[in-house]
Amino acid sequence: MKFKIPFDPIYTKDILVRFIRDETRKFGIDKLVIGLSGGLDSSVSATLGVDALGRSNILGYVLPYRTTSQNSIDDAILMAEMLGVNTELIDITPMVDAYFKGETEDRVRRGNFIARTRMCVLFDKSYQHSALVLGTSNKTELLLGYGTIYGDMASAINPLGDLYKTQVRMLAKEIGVPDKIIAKPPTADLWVGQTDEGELGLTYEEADEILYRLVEERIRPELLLEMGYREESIDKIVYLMRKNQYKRTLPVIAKLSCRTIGIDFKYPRDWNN
Amino acid sequence: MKLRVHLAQFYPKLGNIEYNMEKHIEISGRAKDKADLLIFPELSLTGSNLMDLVSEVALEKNSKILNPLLEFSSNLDIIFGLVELGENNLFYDSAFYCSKSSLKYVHRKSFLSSPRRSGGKDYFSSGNNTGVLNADWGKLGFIISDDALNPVSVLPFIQKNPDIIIIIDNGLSFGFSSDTGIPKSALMWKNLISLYAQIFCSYVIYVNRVGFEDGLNFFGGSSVIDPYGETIISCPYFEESSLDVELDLQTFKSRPFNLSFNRERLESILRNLKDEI
Repeated sequence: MKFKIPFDPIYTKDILVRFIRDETRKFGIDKLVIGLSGGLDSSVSATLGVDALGRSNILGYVLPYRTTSQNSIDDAILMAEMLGVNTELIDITPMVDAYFKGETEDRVRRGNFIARTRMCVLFDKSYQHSALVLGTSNKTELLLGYGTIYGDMASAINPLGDLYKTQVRMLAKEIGVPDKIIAKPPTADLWVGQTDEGELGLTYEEADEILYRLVEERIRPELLLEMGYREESIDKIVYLMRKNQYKRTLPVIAKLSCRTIGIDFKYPRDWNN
Repeated sequence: MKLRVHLAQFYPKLGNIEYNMEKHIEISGRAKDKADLLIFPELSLTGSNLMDLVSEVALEKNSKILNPLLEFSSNLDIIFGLVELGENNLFYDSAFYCSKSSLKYVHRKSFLSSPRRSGGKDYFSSGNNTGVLNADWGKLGFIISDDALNPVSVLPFIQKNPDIIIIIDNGLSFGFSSDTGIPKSALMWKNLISLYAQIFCSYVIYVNRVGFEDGLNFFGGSSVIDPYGETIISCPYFEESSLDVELDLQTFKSRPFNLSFNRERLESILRNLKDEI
């Protein structure tokens, strides 16, 4: 029988809407800014944000670079109009190109810079509007490290961080994200023709199933092999998870004092709620 | 003997004793004319995910901060949770039972949770009370949260046969269950407290908190279970709430299959266990 990752979209939606509302308002803030890419994750996060705080408190930003596909821009605007949120389109091409001045053809360097430029804009807008940045990174991306540290991985609160990509798809159906956005191939859209699954060499279905077995069920890789999962996929996922652990942590600090931040100076984020 | 109980399923502010005490006073004021016993959740005065705040919010038994609740307890028994600064400067995840304007009993959590939570071994010391108290209205068995997951915690109940088992919790919401809309963890607790009610032929009162702390989400679902394991009444999940219930402590005393304690049998088991260890 085909394995199915457990999921309850009704419970998930309920918790995530409460989470966004609570973790925003407890700091005396009632607005969120979000980057709308036209993809699945930002569409789901934005919809949850609207449910949590109301459309007038969600500020959407469409932040295309010159290589961003028109289809992505159209879908981002479609989503913004559907949700009825105030949205601004800011072309980040001048910012990115002013830095590189044509010096690099390294698409990964440029892609990371694009992601970090978007982050800069979103955090600036969050300050301007006394808002928090709503995150869009899902658990699959976080575990595989498929994202730019201090770029798209940065946010103030992230409702999708404990949901695998395939669960985000199921949630999207529950909360009414248009089918065309759910069905299209996921892409960071950092260069022409880029797709997540093409770059990873794995489908999200396969990656999520293996990740679920490894992370939630704590099944060891050698047992997964015996269970019939592809060795190449298991090895790649284990490698990426370990290699990218640094992306899921704060910068490491050398211990000198008696109480070192992150080691033995530990306070909850909600300390000042 | 009938006992009127008020369950306070509320949302404490993390590390903010002043705010939480105000809420305790407000709730006590509402309960005082309609209840004999008022129960708050685990760590109700402080919140749960305290980390290094543990040492900053800890209170000694005789702290003046607790006086308003002692005053209310002149005609309303009150159970609340706090970080207790105990002897030798050790910290405990404790429940205080106040009655007739004095602190009548302190119960300390024994089996501490994983370090990622405030109940973790990094911060707290383990209590070793039996968890049984003779109150004016009957015999009470005490459990704090995850202690319920270790059968050793309830061993004293075999001998003492409490009328009511009270479990106060900071129960986290996690996992997907087959019951739509309810987390797996909440179903686990529902089954566990029903089991305890049946095994000990006792009422079980479960009081949990709600709200978020650093992404941790507490599911609520406070409830009262009868000795057949049936839920008499329950609070909603995830929402601040309260409920009142009146329990007839005589009703189940005559149950023919009431727990019969066999001291010799228990001593024999413990002796054998000790030999094996």
